[in-house]
Amino acid sequence: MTLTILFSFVSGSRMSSQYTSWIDAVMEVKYEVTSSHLWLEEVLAGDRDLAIDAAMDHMNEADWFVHLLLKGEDSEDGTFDKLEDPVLIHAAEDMKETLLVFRSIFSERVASLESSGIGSDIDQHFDRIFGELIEKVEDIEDMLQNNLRLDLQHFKFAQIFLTIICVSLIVFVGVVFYRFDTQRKIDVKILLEAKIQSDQETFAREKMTVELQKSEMKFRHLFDNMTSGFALHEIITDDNGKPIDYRFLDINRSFEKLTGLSKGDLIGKTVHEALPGAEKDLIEKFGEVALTGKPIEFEQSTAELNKYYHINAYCPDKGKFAVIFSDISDKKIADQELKDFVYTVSHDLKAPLRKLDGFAKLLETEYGDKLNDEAFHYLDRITGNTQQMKLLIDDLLELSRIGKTDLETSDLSINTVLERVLDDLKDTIADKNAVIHIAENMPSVKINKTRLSQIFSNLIGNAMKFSREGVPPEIEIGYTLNPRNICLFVKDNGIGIEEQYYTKIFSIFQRLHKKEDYEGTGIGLTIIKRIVANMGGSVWVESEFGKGSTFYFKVPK
Amino acid sequence: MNSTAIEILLVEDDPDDIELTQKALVSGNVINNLHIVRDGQEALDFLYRKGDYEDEKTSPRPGLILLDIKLPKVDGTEVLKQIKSDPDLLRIPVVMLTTSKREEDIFKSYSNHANSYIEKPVAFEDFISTIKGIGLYWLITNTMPTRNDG
Repeated sequence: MTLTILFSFVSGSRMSSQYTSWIDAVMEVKYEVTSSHLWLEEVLAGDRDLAIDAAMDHMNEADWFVHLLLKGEDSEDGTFDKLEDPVLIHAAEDMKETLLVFRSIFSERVASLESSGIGSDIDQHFDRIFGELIEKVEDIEDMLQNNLRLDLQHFKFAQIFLTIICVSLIVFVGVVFYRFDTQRKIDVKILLEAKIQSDQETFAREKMTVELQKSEMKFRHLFDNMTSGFALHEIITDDNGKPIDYRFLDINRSFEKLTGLSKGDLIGKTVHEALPGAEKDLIEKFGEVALTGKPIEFEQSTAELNKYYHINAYCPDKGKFAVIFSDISDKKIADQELKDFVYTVSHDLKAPLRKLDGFAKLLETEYGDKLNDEAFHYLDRITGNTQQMKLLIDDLLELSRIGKTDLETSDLSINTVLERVLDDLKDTIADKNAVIHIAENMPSVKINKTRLSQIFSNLIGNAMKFSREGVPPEIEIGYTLNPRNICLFVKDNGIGIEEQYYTKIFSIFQRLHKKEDYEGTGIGLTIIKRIVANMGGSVWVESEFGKGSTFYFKVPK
Repeated sequence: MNSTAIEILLVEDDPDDIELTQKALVSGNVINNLHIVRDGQEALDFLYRKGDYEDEKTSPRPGLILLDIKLPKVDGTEVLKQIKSDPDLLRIPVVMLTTSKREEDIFKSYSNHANSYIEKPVAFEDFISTIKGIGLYWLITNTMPTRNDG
């Protein structure tokens, strides 16, 4: 294809330089031959010398042009390339030979003119050769014209092809350029976008940094201005992984204020270095937090600093623990003062009671013979009331004793505790003819013994107290085991409670009955509620009015 | 021994309590010579025979001390401390007789070697039996060498 195009192109371009000259030459040959033929006619007509010379000149000219065709030469007639096409060369040589024959016949004729005069045969022969020659010349001319047309066609084809190629090329270049341009534009766009994005990211990052700084400042502000002390530590363990010490990593201002210790004294130091007298059990406690991740909350007195702290410790990272604490020394003092106050009031209130009872008894024993029944009745009322007042004070005292930091707990067999309680209540049980069923093999609970006894004693006492007239109390004590707690119950067949009082009965001094009907202080259930609440449990009642009540209380396992 | 009167020193500031204690001792059949002082200072003066209590006859060495905790001037705990740190007095049984059931008071009393700690019951009948118990305790457990004070 490429070769064809190249060939077409070459032959096409050859046309301009070669074919024109060759056709010119052939036409010159034709002209010269025709002219020499005409001059020979003149010779024959009589004008010999001039005409012969002219004819000879024309023939020489014809030879010259044939020579140009066959050999090619750069002359004053123009630049001629020699013919290359073998067919053409063959035709031209044939033409040359015919021209030679023509010349020889011409010479012959001229020579015979001298001797024999005009011979028609020779003339006929000469005319025939002339005709042949002209024919051959015209053949060559035709061939050249033909070739030229073919080459022109080739050239046109090549031209068209080239035009197509050029157009294609232009289009291609255009497309490429467009593509490139588009690509460039896209690239630029991408670059721009990337730049914008990067700018935005930078901006966002800067903004975030600022926000972070702000947030950090805020936290730092909070951290430093919170009234609670805060400290971050890492735990130090021995080779067996047992916590033996801890190091201060960060503390806030309140920490400094609350402990009187300064940052410089603590940061980077271990508690052994900073506070040699620190409680050992604290290290264990904090160690557990840092190693297990389980948060704790407790109150702690430090002999070292002579203070009481409420402490929350949690694990922000394994091996570390953070402590948030507040100084509750004042609260502790206030608590103690309140406790003292309650004791004092209770005891001081009891003293006159004791005396009232004492003197009433003395009056009875020493002057009994002088008193009538009415006087005895009044004395009874006095001692009855002192007894009631005593109960009230005792219960109040008990209530005030149930603090958040309650007494020690141990694993208790509920059955054993119940045996003791029933033993204490045996007189009442006998009086009331009560029947008490206790579930066998009740589980153990981790509760303070006194508190559990108090709960049962109160509930069983109530169950017997609020019995229906003429119906001996029948009490059932049992439990249900839940995944996380134990629900215990005391069920009776007593008078029952109306639903609207289910909550009210647990409020202090709430009584549903007249004192003369059911004695009591109205504090018993409040005490139970507080005890159970302190254990993290709850207490409630379900009842069928007139048929009986069931008191439930849930305590953690 | 039953006929021997016990010298009892009652350290009590409240007149009602004094009267009731006296009655309870009588009702509880504890035969005694009761000496009454009204505050801690008087108790110490009585024991060391100072001031109003110089006379040995009216201020004999008691065989039992009933000591209230809350007292004017010098309180009961302080009196107890002094008695128990004095070689001459430390063998006298001291019964802390009080309305306080406060653990702190009980602890303090026993740490200062009180021989007994008794909360005064509200009911008078209970009080009588308590006093009776104290008398009995003293009668049975008292191994103090009897001092001949002439």
